[in-house]
Amino acid sequence: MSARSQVPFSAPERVILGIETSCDETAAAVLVEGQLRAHVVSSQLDHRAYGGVVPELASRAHERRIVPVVQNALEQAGLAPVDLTAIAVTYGPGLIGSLMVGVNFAKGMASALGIPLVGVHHLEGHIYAIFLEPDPPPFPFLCLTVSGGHTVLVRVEAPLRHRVLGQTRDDAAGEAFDKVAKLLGLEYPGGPALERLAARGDRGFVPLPRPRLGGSLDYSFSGLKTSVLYYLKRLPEEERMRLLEAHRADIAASFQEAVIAALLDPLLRAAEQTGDRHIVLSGGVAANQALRRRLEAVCAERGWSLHVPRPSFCTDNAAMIAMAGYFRLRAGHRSPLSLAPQATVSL
Amino acid sequence: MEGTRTRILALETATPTASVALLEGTETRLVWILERPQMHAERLMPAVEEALAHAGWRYEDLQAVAVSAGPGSYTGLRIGTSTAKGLCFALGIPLIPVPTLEALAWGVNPIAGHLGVDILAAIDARREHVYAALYRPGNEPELLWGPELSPISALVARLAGPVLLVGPGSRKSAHALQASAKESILLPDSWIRPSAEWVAQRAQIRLLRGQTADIASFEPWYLRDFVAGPARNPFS
Repeated sequence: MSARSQVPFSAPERVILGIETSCDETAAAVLVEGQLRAHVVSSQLDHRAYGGVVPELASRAHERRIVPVVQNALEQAGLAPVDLTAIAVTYGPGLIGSLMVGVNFAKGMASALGIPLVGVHHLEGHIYAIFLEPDPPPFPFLCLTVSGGHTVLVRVEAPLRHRVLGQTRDDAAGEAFDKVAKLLGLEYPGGPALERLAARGDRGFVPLPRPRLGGSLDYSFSGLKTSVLYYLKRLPEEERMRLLEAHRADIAASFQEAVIAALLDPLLRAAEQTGDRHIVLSGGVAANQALRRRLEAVCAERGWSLHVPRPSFCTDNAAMIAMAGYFRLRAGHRSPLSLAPQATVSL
Repeated sequence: MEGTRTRILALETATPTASVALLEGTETRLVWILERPQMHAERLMPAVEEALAHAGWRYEDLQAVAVSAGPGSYTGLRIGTSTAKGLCFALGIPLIPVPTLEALAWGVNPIAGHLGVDILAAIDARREHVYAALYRPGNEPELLWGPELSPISALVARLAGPVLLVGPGSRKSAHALQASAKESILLPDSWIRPSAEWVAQRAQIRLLRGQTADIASFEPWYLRDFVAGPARNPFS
């Protein structure tokens, strides 16, 4: 009997609608038998003027976009709501008002269609994003997820068996990028702009501290951000402007260097401790080329293999939520209709 | 007439009272009310499924979903609206938004008509404010002013004759009116709390008039634009 015929026709993981609304991206995706058929992300650009995501504005935008985004995904897949066999939705962590839109919409749809609902942890989405790619790693592997909201190092021992080895004790790495970008006078979201600037700077220009958290595999970035703040603040405004004028790229490069070093150190120690040879880098900051190149070099040196999802699966998206849902549904997981969003929830 | 047998599911989550109702024609088949804040997201959908099961209805029997559309708690409005959109999108049936204060006024319309007084529908807003609207009772209640977000003092100054109060802002309004020696009628809490039954009844009328919403673009009536402050100078 072939493996395929053992799966009943109505297996709930057959046609999954994924929904993600945890921050400022309204996203929907359709996965058919584990293959991505539709992938829609609507980004909110209205937050730029405020220098960060404004939760109430984000929630309202999700409410305006949720139906068009889901409809668009279904059209891309050439499917109607009745063709779906399950819905996977991010239930946390994230902005509570934003999560409310996705979770309640998903519950309404799943109940009306009489199909299973499965709540997905946002970070689980980032981990399983790599399974959207043609050549995913075997288990076990180490996954470093770095984004505007998260910095977490996880050992994925088997499907759905995760052990958090380390995480940030304060700011996420992406958050530190955005905050330092602001100090350098770059427009929000400043992470990518800072990276472009750093590419032509001297990374040894300012010696910045490396966080040391004893033997722990945790991260800390707020001290690093504060160091940049004090480095600039010690000067009167006029002098500061002159320094920035002449060395903005150098300061950016020095900061980026410090972040990369801080990200790699626990990862390398974890790999040594566990003996794992497959490394996954995910989350929005995985798009940072300098980080990626450094990690590639480190892995090549040691004979480890590095797996990075393509950029559109690294930033917040619903394909990864559908994929994590696929794993959960296949393992028989279901969420009750009492599923409620949670702003903070551990993996 | 077919409309008299119309089956409507109504959701009311604009305030700390969550409610679900099933209406068939002019007959209320079921009303569920939960007086407990912060539980709407968790309890609403299970309540909807239970209500349908109790009535022996299937989703396919519904002609429309009605939602209390605001003003009210932003989170509450999002829960009701997002749930209603999910249901309507999946079922391909119309969404009927009903102004929350209109539904409240409708609930006490017969009593106000009998007493010959206007209806002040009021919902607590933060600080010394209420969302309020004034209606004149009748076969079709007439909106005299509102809905608006008003400081309670301004509301008191504006009212002349006696009013019948309805909604979770009633007690606050009654106290303020009393302090200014203005007459108001305060009914027991259970008579004047929000109920999806009233939302369903108003939706029935709106559906007959073709007042449905486009689920893609519909947004709750927050009544307050949200204005965020500009970015701060990181060095100050």
